[in-house]
Amino acid sequence: MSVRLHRSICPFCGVGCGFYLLNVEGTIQTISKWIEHEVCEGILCPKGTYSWKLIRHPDRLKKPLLRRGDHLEEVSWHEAISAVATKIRETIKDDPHRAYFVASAKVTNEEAYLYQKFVRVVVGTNNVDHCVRLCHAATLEGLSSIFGMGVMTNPINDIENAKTIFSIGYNFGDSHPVIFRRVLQAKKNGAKVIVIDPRFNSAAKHADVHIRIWPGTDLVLLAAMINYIFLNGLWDRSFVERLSNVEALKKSVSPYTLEVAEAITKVPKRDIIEITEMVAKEVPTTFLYGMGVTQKINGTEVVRAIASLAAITGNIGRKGAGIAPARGQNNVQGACDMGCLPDRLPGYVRVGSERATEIGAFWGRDLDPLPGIYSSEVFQFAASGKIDYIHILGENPLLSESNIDVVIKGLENAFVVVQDIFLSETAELADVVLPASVWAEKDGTFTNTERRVQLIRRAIDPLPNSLPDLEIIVKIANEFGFHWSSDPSLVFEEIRKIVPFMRGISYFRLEKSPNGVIWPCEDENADGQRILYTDRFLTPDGKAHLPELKVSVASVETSKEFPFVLINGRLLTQYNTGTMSRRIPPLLAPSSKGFAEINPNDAISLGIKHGDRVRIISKIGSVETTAVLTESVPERVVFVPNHFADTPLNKLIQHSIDPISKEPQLKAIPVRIERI
Amino acid sequence: MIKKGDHYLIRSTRKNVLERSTSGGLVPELLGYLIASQRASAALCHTAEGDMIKPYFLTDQSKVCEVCGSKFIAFQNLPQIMRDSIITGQIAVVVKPCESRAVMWLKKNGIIKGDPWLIGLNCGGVLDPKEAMTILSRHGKKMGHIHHIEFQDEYLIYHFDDNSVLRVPFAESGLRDSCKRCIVPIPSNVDIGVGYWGAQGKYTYTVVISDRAEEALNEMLRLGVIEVIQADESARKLREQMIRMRIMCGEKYREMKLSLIDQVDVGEILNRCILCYECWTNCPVRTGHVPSHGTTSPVLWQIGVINYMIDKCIECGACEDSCPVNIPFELFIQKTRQIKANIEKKR
Repeated sequence: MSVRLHRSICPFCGVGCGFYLLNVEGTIQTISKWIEHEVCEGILCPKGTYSWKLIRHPDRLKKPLLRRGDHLEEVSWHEAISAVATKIRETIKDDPHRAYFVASAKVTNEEAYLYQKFVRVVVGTNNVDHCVRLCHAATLEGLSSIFGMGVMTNPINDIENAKTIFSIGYNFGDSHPVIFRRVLQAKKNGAKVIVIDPRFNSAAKHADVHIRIWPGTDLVLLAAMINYIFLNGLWDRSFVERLSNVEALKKSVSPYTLEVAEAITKVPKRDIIEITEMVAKEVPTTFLYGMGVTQKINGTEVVRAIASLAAITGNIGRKGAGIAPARGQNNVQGACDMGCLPDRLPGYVRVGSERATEIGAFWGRDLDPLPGIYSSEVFQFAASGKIDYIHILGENPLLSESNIDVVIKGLENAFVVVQDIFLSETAELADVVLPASVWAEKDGTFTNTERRVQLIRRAIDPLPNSLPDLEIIVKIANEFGFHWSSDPSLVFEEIRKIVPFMRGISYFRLEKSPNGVIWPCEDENADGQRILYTDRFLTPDGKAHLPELKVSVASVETSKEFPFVLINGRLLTQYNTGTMSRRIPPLLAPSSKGFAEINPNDAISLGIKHGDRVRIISKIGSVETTAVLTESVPERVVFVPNHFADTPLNKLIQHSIDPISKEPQLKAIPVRIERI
Repeated sequence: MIKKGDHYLIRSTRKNVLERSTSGGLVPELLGYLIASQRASAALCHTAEGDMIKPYFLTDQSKVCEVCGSKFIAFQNLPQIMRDSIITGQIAVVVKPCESRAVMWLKKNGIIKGDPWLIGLNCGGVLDPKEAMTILSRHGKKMGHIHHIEFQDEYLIYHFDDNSVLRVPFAESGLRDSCKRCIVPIPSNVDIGVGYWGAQGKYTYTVVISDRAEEALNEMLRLGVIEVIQADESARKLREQMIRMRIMCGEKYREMKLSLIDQVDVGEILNRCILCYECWTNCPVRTGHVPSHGTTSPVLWQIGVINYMIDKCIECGACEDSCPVNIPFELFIQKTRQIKANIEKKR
């Protein structure tokens, strides 16, 4: 009898926990703990624990599908690939910029790399992007403008060494339980935790200080904190020589006195003082943040403010300090590193730059020097008929992008190809559906939020008729005369040549090092650099370039018509649009349907009881859901989890993006609530 | 002739097995024999891979050496693997006392079918990697340097690859907390009980329990795979003394933890719960996968589960191992049992 344990990395979030998959006679039957895994130490959350149930899930796509009339029919791979290639060819002939390629934050580095290479070399456009645009695009732009790189600065387990943990717009309790574990360990070691969030969520429950900030006003709070630090001499004098532009920062925050901040943020002055003193004096301080700050039209600026706060207090480049944008997807870090971005090539090389030209030469093609369209805007373009072909790899934009009606119109106008493991809500509207293999069925690398590159090996053969995304991309490229290798280890060798910070990593090294290798790692014989910026920043002059902050409020004004503010977020047992997590019964047991958390005082004035059906209405649409009365939300704020197709939030969210990061504002939406 | 019910000192006759073993190497030889003679199609145990110890399915008799050696961090619940996976055919499992209780429960409730061979280990406890690492680093050692651990008097002794030793008092020894509270070092309902207590020199102290174990060992003896000496009075006495000592250490520590819990803010600890349900999912005696049990309150959920577990918990500590927020769940169950017993005494 053949029984084998295979090391694997969780396919859900950006923490990248390791576990073993048990393969008995060719079927994966359970997982087993990997106690020595540096990141999780054998601790998992239920998504990871049950992830194996996705592998031979009955809903797995088993054959390529082609739209004939109003339904999708099973066809052969040959027919499907032909249809795809024909349409791409047509579109290139007409105008390659009328083709769009949505990449995935779930596929391996090798697949992400080859996908963007296809877009740039075969199609000839920079029209490639992925869900980072909905999540940490603000981080990419915000942090890189100051430090030179838009990434998490310290390892996850370093959180235990912090004296103060400052968490803003982030719910580590539900989003990243394994990170939460580190926060608790820090607390045990004497750290104090500050949680800034309008809602009393599971992170706030464990905070020493919970700041119930009014939605959308984070930037004002941060500006006031920075201002307080300057006014009271609390900045780190020994660190100042590593910074430039300090005066400009100081001037830009000077209007934000405690009084001004209190009025706008609703945070009492004494609380602002308390948390500022903690951050500046009880060091080292680790700064955690998430969607609460990035999914705003001023998200990039908020990230810059957090970075500034860290920089002036000397909380960068040392143990227990640093900035932790805890990434959401198992390989969103990798998808960014591999250049699945409209304005960057692999290694964050700007399109149109000299280095970009070198990469083009290496690939054998003059590359388009102009940035492509961002995924947060493409559906607007498609809805107005400007996009003919959309290829969607492992994403569900129908539920994740703002303004569902625009997305639907865009998908209907274009020829849509979806490459996925299940028939997602987006795939139901596609013209061609290509069945992809899951993570456990292929070899490749994932990069987690702390820049750790980890190798996974095939634990089970692909479901018959599904193919690893790498092979699908290669098949399509073949149709255009490009005969690329579908061997992931060879693709990785190419990646190493182009991406300097991964040069020292190889499959050989990853095999010998089960805990992976952290980048930057340029030397095969040296360890990767776990803590960034220990002596210099990645800017040309080595200093951190502090911003002249442009402070604004990201709450769209509430009115008599829309007196409530809608915020949304994650639940522990579910994951994003639920394509995977809603298909695992134990994960649905806690909540299987959408709901809206409403403050009991508001409920009284609205005439709503716990469990009543309610309608939430915004400027552009409405959804119906069930009311849950709780004091977790302040008055005039309503919280809805973003996992359930029965409560599609993007029916309420109109298109409004941060001009720098192009990230849409998905939170702090003005709404009204009615009892049904 | 080996007889059921008797005690023996056994060791492998094969040099390559014996030198890789901490005691006599009986366990790898027995597993190898069961597979070679097709009495079992696979044996579930552990193997060491570099610094890592992980569950292992032995299916090929020629690989018995992979199974040799003391597995001092093997707190992974093998019965959990048996529970979720469908391994057809007769298998053999190497179980610690807590695991033997889990297997019993799973068999009784029809979750695992058949009658797996159970090789029961005498167990003084396994290490908590984090605790052990803290202790070792103080002495300039790493987990990878440990050859085996040994329980003696009221101490845990770390034996390192370089032949050096470290003696630590039981209560601060780096063992898992659930193990330190354990007072059942000898497994029951197993085919054969093995360990090093009572063995002087490189032998495995063996208690033959079932008919089929008697048959298998005699066959192995006949084949010349093992050497057997009857355990004499002094060996038996030594073993009994070590068992008693270990139980005493467990009782002392358990008593201390149970009374200490009266002084902590239990509500604050229970409130850490984020309802991740990992404790439930990893419990070998849980019923079904659906974990919410109709409540969204973390404290009420825990109260409900403790109530359910009051007569079912087998005190294996898997819940504590898998909790991301370090709630000592098994300890709460033990305390609740103690309170319940006190109430019942008064009737």
